[in-house]
Amino acid sequence: MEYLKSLADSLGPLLPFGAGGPELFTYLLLGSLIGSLVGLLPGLGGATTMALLLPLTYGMDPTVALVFLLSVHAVASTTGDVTSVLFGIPGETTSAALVEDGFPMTKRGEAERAVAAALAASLSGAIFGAIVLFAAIPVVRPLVLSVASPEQFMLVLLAITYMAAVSGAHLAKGLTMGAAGFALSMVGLDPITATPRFTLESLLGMEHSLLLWDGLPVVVVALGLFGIPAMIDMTTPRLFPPVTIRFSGFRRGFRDVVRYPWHTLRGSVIGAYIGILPGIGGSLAQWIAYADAARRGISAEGRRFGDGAIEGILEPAAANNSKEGGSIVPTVAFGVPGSLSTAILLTALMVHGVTPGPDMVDPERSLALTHSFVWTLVLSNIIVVVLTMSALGPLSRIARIRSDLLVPPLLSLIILGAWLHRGLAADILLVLVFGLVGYAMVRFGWPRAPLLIGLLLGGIAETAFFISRGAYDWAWLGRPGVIILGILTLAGVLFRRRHAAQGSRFQ
Amino acid sequence: MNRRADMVFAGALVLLALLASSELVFWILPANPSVAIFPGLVIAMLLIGAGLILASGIRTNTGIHTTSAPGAMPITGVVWITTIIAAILVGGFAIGGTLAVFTYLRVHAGCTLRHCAAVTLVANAIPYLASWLLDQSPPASILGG
Repeated sequence: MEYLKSLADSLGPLLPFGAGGPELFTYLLLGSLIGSLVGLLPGLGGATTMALLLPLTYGMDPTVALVFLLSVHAVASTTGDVTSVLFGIPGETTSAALVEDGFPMTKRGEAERAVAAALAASLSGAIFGAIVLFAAIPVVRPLVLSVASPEQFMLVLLAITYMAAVSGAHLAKGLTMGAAGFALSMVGLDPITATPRFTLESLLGMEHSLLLWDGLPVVVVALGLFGIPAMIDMTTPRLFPPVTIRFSGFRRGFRDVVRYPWHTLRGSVIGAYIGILPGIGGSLAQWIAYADAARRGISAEGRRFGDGAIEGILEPAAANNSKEGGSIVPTVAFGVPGSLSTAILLTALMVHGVTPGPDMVDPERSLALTHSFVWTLVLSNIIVVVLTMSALGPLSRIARIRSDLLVPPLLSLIILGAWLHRGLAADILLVLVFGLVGYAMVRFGWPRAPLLIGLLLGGIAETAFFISRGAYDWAWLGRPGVIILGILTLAGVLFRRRHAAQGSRFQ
Repeated sequence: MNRRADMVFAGALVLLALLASSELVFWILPANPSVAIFPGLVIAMLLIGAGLILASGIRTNTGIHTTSAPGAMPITGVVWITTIIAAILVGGFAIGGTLAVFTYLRVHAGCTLRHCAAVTLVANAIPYLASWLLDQSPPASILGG
């Protein structure tokens, strides 16, 4: 009962005339608008935008900041679907599956029906994902409360190995980058005895090495790793082909969701399930959902999949948005991010002094914040669906802005973000260095997410390791929770290795 | 998979790990052994991972199965972004940023003078506007711009 009351209470502040004034709603609206524009522009993903905007939220109240950032990300894949359908170019990597049947529908003259179906399925998926997030918290609560330092250490290892699994066939690279992230987190004063480590004193001199005593700022590294490569990529402009939109078939598209409810539901379930599993990656959910729809070969309307079948839009669009709710569950409950976007959300939580884990499910502490995430997923998607439906024409023109012209203002935002963190010019240099490293990683197929997760969780892992050793010596390795998590970690690595080997045999 | 590029990347990681381990052994370990255990484990993991990839790259590139050459890098984008950031670091947004962004738009993007001026103005107004809103000083530069 208390749980339901907390959910109901957390809705009020998010409404325009709710308790506490319109501040939270204003930022929710602003985040939804920014997210929907980002979704329309190819090359700049929701996760990257969250990283870009994170420094601007330093002065905000934690709830306002996190609602703002989550709303940016929650709607990016919704409008990303629109460009997939209208132009055949996904605005987000998570929207690529919609090109298969969405673009053929546009070419056939059914653009408005396809867009409406994608938006309605996205909204249904977002609501389903929010319900999963809401329902999962009481279930995982006892598990969260039973986590002590040894289990916490193993959870961090699990997060790294699962994130490494995102790299698919390049598992060794993923694990190596996880270790590199851990190593980078060791820079600065150690958290136990404040001994300086890897501060390059002999190279930089005492005065400059002091800059590294606080460690490498995660926000600056994230901006460099993800922001700069996106900017370099955007210097090569990609233009959408012109498309004519007729606004007459929206109602039919909305009706499709009701006509084929099982497809929307199946897509939502697949998305939420894949979202909960850490490290599987958001892009996969849409393709599994699409494969589920397309396995019948012919749609209910007698069309082949890939030739404009409506079910090929409904399932991936629903999966795309329901995965967001699912992926937040392990992030808030255990501090184990399931994807790149939740890794940046985790960074945001930590920057704002919110610790994932027991606090997030405790009604006395941050449960209201967790519940505000539930409402943000729902409300931001409602806002964007209404906005997109009412202004599809102008919005589709925004998507045709040349990406190379967006580089200077976005680069200003990155530099400003790096500067605002500590007010040091050295951080601007650091953002450039990590940007070039990040770009090389993208070009040569080295995964960036495990590096960021390693950097983010390295300090937590070291503290948990130190406490575990102090309290139990090496006997902590025999705790049941540690053994189970160890088996899960090993199983994840072996499972991925086998898949990679099978993949290379097929190639 | 680009084996030669992987080899270079993994080689750099091995080199960094070796440098870190030398600091660990000669500096941190004698000073405080308890804080060296965890970094030691991490660096060992890094060395094993990067070492395996390096070894695999060397094997492929020195054998008869040499595969693809490194992919062509769109060096223009890298150079422009580096130049803009370096210019802002040296001359600040007002001078360095204006010059670099305007040149980028005119030379790389081929914009008209009016468009160049408008985008440059928007790009360089962002830090000042944000600094004013957040009540913080705008980014400093080497020349004090």
